[in-house]
Amino acid sequence: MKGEALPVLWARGLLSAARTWKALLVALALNAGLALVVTAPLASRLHDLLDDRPTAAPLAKGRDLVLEAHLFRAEPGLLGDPARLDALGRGSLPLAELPSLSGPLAGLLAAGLLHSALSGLLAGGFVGRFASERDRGSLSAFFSDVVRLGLPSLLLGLLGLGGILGAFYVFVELPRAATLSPDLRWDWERTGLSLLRLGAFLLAAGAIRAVVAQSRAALGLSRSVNPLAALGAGLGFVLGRPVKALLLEVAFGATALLPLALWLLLAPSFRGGDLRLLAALVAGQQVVVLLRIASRAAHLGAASAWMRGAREASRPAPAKIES
Amino acid sequence: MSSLKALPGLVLLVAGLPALAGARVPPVASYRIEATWDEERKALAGRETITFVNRTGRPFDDVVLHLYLNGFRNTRSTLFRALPPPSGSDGFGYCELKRIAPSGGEDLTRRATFASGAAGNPDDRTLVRVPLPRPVAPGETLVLEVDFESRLPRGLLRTGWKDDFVLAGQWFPKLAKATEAGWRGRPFHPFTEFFADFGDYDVTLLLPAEVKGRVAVTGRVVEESGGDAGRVRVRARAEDVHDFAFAFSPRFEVKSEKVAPKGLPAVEVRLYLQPDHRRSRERYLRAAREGLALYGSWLGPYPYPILTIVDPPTGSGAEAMEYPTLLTGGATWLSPAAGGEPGAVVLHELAHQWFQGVVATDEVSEAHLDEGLATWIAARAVTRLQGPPSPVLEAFGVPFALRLSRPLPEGEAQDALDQAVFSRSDPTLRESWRALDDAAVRTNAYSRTALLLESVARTTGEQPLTAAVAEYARRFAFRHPTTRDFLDVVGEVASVEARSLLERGWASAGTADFAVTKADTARMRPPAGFLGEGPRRAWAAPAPGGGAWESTVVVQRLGELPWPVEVELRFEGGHVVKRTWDGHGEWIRYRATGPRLLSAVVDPGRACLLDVNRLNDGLATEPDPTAARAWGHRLRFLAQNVLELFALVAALPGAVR
Repeated sequence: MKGEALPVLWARGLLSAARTWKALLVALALNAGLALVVTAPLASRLHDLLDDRPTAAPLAKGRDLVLEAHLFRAEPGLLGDPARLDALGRGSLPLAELPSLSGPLAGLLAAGLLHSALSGLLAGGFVGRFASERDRGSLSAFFSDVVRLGLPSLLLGLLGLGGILGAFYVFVELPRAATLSPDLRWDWERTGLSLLRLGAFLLAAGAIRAVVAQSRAALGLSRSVNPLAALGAGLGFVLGRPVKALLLEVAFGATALLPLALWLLLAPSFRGGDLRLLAALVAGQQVVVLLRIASRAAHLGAASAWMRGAREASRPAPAKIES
Repeated sequence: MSSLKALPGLVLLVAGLPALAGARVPPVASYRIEATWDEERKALAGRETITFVNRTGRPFDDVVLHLYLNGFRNTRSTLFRALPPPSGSDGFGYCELKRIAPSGGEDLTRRATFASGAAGNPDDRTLVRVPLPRPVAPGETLVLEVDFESRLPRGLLRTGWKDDFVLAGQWFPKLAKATEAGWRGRPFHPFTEFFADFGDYDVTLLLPAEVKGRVAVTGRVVEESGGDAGRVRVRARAEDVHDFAFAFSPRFEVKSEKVAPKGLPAVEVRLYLQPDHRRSRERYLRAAREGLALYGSWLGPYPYPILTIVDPPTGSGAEAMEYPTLLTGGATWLSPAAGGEPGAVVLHELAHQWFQGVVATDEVSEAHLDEGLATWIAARAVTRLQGPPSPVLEAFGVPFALRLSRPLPEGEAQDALDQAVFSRSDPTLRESWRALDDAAVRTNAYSRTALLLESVARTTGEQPLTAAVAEYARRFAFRHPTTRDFLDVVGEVASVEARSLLERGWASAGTADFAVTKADTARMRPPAGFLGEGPRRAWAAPAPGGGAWESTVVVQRLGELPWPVEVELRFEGGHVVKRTWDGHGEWIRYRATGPRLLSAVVDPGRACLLDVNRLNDGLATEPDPTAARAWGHRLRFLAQNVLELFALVAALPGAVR
């Protein structure tokens, strides 16, 4: 199998990510810390509301749609403005109204954006380490790369975010009414067009993410801090190999989703009682999130390895030396 | 689970079987109609002969006719004043009276005036009053000849068309209901339905030839001829019904089967299915088959030889509607079985064949009598036949069922409790068409009544209430009862308490909310202070408690609706004490000495489903963080994954449709 074959790149990406395990733990701590900050007020409110109420006991066992309806009727603002939440749940909240959300969900949105920005900065550290021949696992070297490459990486991430939001608007929002139109005669037309809409968005988002990943890789490899130059290099690289770049994106997307899917399908849920079970479940959940973060980093690792390999292959062969 | 205990009512129901079949009344308003469909204009040109037999004790010097399709005439109609106007001319329709005359008599068309009725909208054209040359005396028969043209709108509110599919409902000029107080007719209101006298229908339709064999009708197709010259002539007859609807589509797939539930008359079930809903075919037929048997045992046999089910295209506006002997379902291409559809909608509309097809109540003023009873009975049937359904979400046109149980009727009736808390605009007993908005009509007619009936059943006994409903169905078959009649039967067959609870629940727009507001327990302290009399008076210093526990529980009625409730006190050592409170006072206090109190719960068996806040139904003396901890744990993991999603920027909330 060639060194640039997809499975090889996938494996090299995961290996690269594993070598930066300390940095991955930093990213996990960041994720967990933010999640804790966002959910702490809600968790505290839930304790206030439920701890004295024996009638809340069924909630410990899992979802209870009727009891949840009673909870939200008694506390309409528990998650934020009920009308907007309702629209969000129905998938009909316009993107423009997302900033007007209130309550814990607004906190989650803000934390999400912050997490996205911090992840963009950390991506600079990862590509710096992946481009380096030595000290790949060094945390101090990682942070010095964050300082050096973080900002351009963040800018590339913001460009990617803008692109993905644009693709979302063009492929999902704009044709929404047309693809759900009651004028369509058959249900399969409606489903087909809606899936087409989703497919087009995922394709565009995947392409944008691939360009961002390769641009970040170019940033690390070139040692330049010019994001536009990196973007040019990344775009050129992806345009030269669009199918493989997308397949790499799909491979790491699936890798990121697999642990979560397995956890949701197989892991027991905490229904109270043994706190050791709770501790074990929390630990298991952190492993799942860590694997998701690792697969995101591994994508950058694979992108760096792929780009470096391509560059080395394109270098002219050394002149023949005759003795 | 409790809804599965309705079987005891069966004995009384079976006893009522012969009476139902023999209870039919002589026809009051019968119609012979001939109509031709104009595909281009989506219109029916028709001529009808109305035979009205005055079976009241009063003369009528005029007739009042419904021209329902004029509700779609323009944006000034009562119907369109309450709905967003259609975007194109397709959304509008009308029913035009071209000529009306007594048989062999003078043309009365010029004398006709529109009657805006009690809604007070002079622009409404859905009711027309025609003075007669001479009154129709009690027992006399009036024969009217009417020419009309009806244009159907694009599917909306139980009638109309979509592409090649047509459902013609409320399409012909139709007499208002004759009562001892005169004609009872209301303008076509968007949130209520219909009311009419029973009669016989003989309808001949000229339709496009390609729909031959694919015409669904109220009653039965008795003749189908032609097919050449681009037209097919379809003649249908229906007896002892109060309405006539039909549907056709060249793409219908027709499936017919004979259903003969044990001990009940055989019924031919005809299903007219959309080709893209093929996977729902068995679910439709199974619901009809099992529903006919179950309702037959609960409410008396289905009194017609045929039941027609129309499966409309998605988005046709024709979903989930009942007409005599004909109902419309609602399926989608990928309907997941766990969602319970289209079985649940068939069971609801099938229940309407009794309430209001046979027991023909006034849907315009007392919508709870048909929708509420149908919702309650269908909830019990769905639970019994299919199990509680799962909620269904749709992402990008693909529906999927969540692995959650939605117990009925509470699972689909929480809107009634929201209405009681946040709006409380109308009591159920207010005439439906007078209600503030559609939410008030919907929640009162469907959800609140279903919750109320189930609560009464759980509080006063299921068997007596189901027996009362069965007796009501038997006694008022082919008649036009009111809420008072229903309550009288409940009081007579079930209990005075059941009747009183129903009446109170319907009369109030308020809430039921019982809460345990205090649950204290402490060691009994020895008496302190100056104890004894005269020379034996002695000072006893306050001392810490020891020995037995003294507990106090306060239960408050925070809502307006009184309801008899059980209060359960749990003590250490597994002791449980139960007391019943009639719920009439504002509060009740319980004091107990003995073991330590652990918790107090009001209505632990969840008899009163109208209670808007179940969480405050109980109070523990020691906090138990399990539920909040479990949810905090789930929420943190959810938040971590959402944050990771943001980092990926792979998807965003709100992108699911």
